[in-house]
Amino acid sequence: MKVPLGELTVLNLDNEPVPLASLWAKGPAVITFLRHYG
Amino acid sequence: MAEYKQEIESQGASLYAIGNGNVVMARDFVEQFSVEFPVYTDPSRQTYQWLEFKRPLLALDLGVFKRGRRAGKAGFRQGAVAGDVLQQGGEVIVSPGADLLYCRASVGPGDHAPVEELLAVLREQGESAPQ
Repeated sequence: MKVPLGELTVLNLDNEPVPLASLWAKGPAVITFLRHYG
Repeated sequence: MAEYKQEIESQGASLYAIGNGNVVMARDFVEQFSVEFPVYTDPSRQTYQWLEFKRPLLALDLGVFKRGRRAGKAGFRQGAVAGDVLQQGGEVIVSPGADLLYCRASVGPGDHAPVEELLAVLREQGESAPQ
């Protein structure tokens, strides 16, 4: 069984882990997942 | 997507980008393209895998040439690839209740969700949200 999406973490630009759930904590989040940078 | 940030925010939502390179690549991306919304990165690609975004060995479809030409006309030029070159992206919309309201996987380079689809989901979500 998958962990909930919100429990996954990503890194902010300060290299700090951020739980994905924080992105939609205050309202809907539109997230574009990039192929790659550049 | 950046040009639609205001419209997205007018629907009460926030716009984010997540890439799959390292943090230095992400910072360079933000600086190079003057990105004005939060950018995160997932070098492990666990989020991409969870969302079942594709990572084909050959990431080309028939539309790639048309989309590439359109991007070129709009002034975009492919720079050095920073991140997993095989990993395709996509778009999601998640509600505060963690409901995955929308999830679309890209089929190849330049394939993005129509913004009107995203805005329609946000409008519908706003109409059905408890007052």
